[in-house]
Amino acid sequence: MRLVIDMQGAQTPFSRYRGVGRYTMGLVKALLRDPRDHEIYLALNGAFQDAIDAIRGEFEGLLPQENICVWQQFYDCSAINPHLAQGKWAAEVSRETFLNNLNPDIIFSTNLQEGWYDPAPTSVKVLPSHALFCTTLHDVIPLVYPERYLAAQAIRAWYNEKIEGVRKSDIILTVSEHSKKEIVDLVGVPSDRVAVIYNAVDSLKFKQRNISSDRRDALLAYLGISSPFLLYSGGGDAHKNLHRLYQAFARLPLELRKSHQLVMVGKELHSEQNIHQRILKKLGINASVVFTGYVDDDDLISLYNLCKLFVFPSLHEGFGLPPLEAMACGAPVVASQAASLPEVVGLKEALFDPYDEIDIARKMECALRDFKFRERLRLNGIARVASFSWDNSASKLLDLFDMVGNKLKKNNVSVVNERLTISSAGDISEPVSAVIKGIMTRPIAAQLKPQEMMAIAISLAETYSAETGRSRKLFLDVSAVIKTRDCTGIQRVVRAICYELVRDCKGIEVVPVYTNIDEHEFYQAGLLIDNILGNLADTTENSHIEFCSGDILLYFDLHPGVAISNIDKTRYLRNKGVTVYHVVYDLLPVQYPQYFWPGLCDEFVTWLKAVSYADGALCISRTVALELRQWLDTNIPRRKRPFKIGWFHLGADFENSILFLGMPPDGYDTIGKLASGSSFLVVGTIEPRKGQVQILAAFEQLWAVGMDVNLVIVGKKGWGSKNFANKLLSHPQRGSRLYWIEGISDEYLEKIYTSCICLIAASEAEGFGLPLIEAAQHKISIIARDIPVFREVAGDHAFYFNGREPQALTKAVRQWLELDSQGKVPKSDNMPRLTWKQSAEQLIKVVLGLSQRGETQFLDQYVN
Amino acid sequence: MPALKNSLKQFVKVGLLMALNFVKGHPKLRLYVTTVVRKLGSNSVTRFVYTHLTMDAYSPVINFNYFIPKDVSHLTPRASQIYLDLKKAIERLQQENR
Repeated sequence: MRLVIDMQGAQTPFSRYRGVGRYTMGLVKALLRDPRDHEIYLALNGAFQDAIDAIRGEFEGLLPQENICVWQQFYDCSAINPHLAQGKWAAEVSRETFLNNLNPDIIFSTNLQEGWYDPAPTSVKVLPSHALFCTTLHDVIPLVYPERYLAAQAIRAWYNEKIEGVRKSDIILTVSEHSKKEIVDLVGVPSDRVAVIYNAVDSLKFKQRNISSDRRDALLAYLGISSPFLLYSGGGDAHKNLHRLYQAFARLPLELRKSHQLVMVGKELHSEQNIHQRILKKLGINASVVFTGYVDDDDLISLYNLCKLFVFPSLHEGFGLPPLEAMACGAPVVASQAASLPEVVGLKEALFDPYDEIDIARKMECALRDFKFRERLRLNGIARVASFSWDNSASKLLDLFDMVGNKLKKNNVSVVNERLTISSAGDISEPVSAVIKGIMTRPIAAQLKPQEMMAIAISLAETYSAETGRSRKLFLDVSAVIKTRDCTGIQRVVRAICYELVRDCKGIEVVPVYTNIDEHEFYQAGLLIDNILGNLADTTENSHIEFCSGDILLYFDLHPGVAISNIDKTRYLRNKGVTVYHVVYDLLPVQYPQYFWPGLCDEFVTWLKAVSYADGALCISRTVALELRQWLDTNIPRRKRPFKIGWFHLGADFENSILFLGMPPDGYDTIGKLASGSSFLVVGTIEPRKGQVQILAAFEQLWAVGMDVNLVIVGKKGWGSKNFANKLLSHPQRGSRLYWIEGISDEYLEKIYTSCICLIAASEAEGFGLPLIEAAQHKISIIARDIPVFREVAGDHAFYFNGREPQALTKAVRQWLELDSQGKVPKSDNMPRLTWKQSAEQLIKVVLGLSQRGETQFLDQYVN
Repeated sequence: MPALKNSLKQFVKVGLLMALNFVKGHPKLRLYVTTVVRKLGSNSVTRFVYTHLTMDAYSPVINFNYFIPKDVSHLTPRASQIYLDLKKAIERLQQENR
C-alpha cells in the first residue's frame, strides 16, 4: 500500500515543539525504519519553510528525498481570522487535491487539530477520494472543558469541524486508553473504530547520561539554576494545573524550599512568565522558581538527568509525554493520578491527587526527603519506559493498516495498487483544474479577493509543473557569462562545458539559465543555446524557468551577487526538492587575502556562506575540495543534511571549444620571432599571486648574463599590477625578448602555445591551473611552482621549483635548459588530461551522484 | 434588518482586526493593551483581543510577501494563466449566485 503522511503536525509553530510534533516525528521515523512492503510519502506544507528543511534533514538517509513532497501555500488560512474563511476553504481543497494526486491508499494525518493559529489546512474528504483517511485525535480536552476552550463561537465552529472530520475518518487513532474512552463517549464513534497507538520516546536520545561537571555547571549557570531542583516541562494551559503546583511548592517546609528550586521548562511558560510571576510573588516563592523558556532536546535531556524530582500535576492529558521522557532519562517522577497519566507512570505510589495541593506537596516532600522512594520511582520509570517504543507503536499501526488493506481486498473494494482518477472534482491528472473546480463547489469561493487569487495561483503554479510527468532537468546558471561577457578563465570554462552539455548529455536534459540580482526568477539563456546549437539568433526564447522536484540547479558561473541575493531562493528550491550545487573554482581570497582587495575578500566570504546553504559544491580539483571542506568545518556550524563536496577536472580542447577567432595585424610576425628562439610562456591575468614579478626578475638576470631566451606574458592587467604593467610597457627588452599580449583570442593563444618551448606556472595558489593542461595538449614542457594543485594536475610531467626569490627561478630555468639539452626534461605529452567533453562527462557523473560516498571523486561531509 | 446587522457586525469585526494589527506593530502599546484586557476579565471579546495580541508565537514562519507580487502583471506566465482561470471561474460562480 502507499501511505501518504500529512506532516503538518511536525511543521506548525503551534505543534512542532509540543507532544504532537514529537509524536509525528517519532512515529514516522519508526514507520520508515521498517515500512514492510509499504511505500511511504511525506506531504509537507510550503507555508512552513523552516520546518521543511529540518524535516528533510531528519529523514535524510531514511527516505529518498523525492518521497518528501511539498504543496505550496503562500497565503494565510488560519481559522482564528474569520475573514480568511474563503482562503481556508481554498487551502483545504488544494491540500486534499495534492494528497490525492500522490495516489495514496491511506492518507494519514498525525494531527487533525491544526489550523487555528497557523496556515495549516486539515480536512477530511471535502473532495471525493479513493484513499482511506486515518486521523490521530490526541485528546478531546476541549470537549471535556467546553466552557474553557470552546466559549468563543469561532473556535467552537472550527473545533466542531475538526471533530466532524474525525467522524468521517476511516481509521481513528489516539494515544492512550483513557483518550480512547473519552473519544468514544464524547465524539460518539464506535469503540472498534478507534485504535490506541501509544506515544513513546526516542530511546536513543532520551536516556540516562553521564554529564560532565563542566557541562553541568555551564548549563545550570546559563539557565540560572543554583540549587538542586524539581523540574516541570510542558505547556502552560489551564489544565496543566500549574497554579496548584506553585501552591504545593509554597507548602513545602521552609528548609526544602530554601534548598531547592522549581525549574519550569517550556516556550509558552516563558512568554507568559509575567502572569506566573504574579502568582509566585503572592505565594512568596518567586525567587525560587526559574523559567528557562524553550530549551533544545539536548539541554532538556540534561535537565531530566540532573533534576532531583520531576513533577507533572496535569488535570488532563491525552497521553503525557514529558513524564515518560523524564522517566527514560532516569528522573524520579511523581505525577497526577488524573486522565492518562496512571497508564504512563504505572506506579500507584508515584501518583497524587492533582486537585489537592496538600497531597501534591506531601508527595513532593516525601520524594525530596526519602532517597529510597526516589530510587523506587527511578527504577519504576526505567522499567516502564521499555513498554513504550516508537518501533512497537509503528508496528502496531502497520498491523492495523495491513488488516484494513486485507479486509478491503477480501471485500473486493480494493484501493490497494489501484490508481484511479477522481472524476467528480476533476481529473487528478489535471490537478490545477481539479483545485479550481473543487474550490468552486462552495459558494464561499465567490468571496475570494484578487490578492488571494494571486496567492492561490502562485501556490498552484509552484506546486504543479506545467509539463506533467516531465523528466528531471539540470539547470546551469550562467548569469555572469550572459550579463558581463568578460573573457575570464572561469567564463571560458563555463562556455566550454555548456557547449558540451547542451549539445549532448546522456541521462539528463541540460538547460543554461540566468537570473538577475534581486529578481529571484530564472530564465532560459536563449542566446547562448542558439550560439551552441548554431541556430539563428532569437530561435530560443528566454523563457521563465519552472523548477520541479528532482531538478538540479548548478550555479556554474562565479557570480557572487547572484548566489548571495538568492540564499532564500536556494533554501526554497531545496525545500521544494530541487538539488542545488555551486561550482567552487578556488578559495584564494580567503587563503591569500593579501593578494586581493579587501572588498573582494569580504564578498568572497559572504559568497562561501551562501554556498553553504546549498546541497553541495563541485570543485575543480581535489585540492580545492579538501580546502573547501576544511573552510566549512572551521567556519560554518554543523547541519543535519549532508553538504556534499565533489570535484572534477577541467579540460582543454581548443578545436572543440567555442573559439574566439582572430589574429592581430602583427600576430604572425610575433609568432615567427617566438618560434625562432627559446621562448618561455606565462599565461594568466597579471596579478601579484601569479608570480609574474618573480618571473620577469629571473629573466632579467638571465638576459644580464647574455642568455638568449624569450619571455611571453599572455594576460590582462589585473588588480594590484599597475606598476608592473608600466614596467612591462617601458621595458628595454619589450618587442625583442619580452612580449606582453593582452586581450588575446583563442586562435592567437593556440598559435603562441605551439611556438613556445616551455610554460612557466609560478602561481603561489590556483584552483586548477588550466594552462598546464593546455601546455600538455600542445606538448610543450612545464616549469611549475611546487604547490599541491599543480602536483595534482601535472604529477611527474612537470619540472618543479620552490622559492619566491628571482634566483630560485633563474636556477630552475638554467637547470631545465641543461636537462633539455640532454633530452631529460619531464615531458608533458603523456600528462593525464581531459578534453572538455570528458570534463563535462566527469562533472555530470558527480552531479548525478553516480560517484557514491567513499569513492575518491566524492567527498561527503556534514556541515551547515 | 438581519442583513444590516450582519454587515454592521462584520464591519466592526474587520475594524477591530485592523486596530489589533496596528497594536501588534507597536510592542509597548501591545503590552499595555494586553495588561488592560487581562484586567477586564474573561469574556468573548476580551478573549478574542487577548488571543490576537498574544498569537505571535504561532505566526507563520514564511513571509508570504516574498512570493506574492503586488500586481498581477508581475506574475509568471503560468501563474498568470491560473489566476485568469480562477478569476473566470469565480465570475461564473458569482453570476450563478445572483
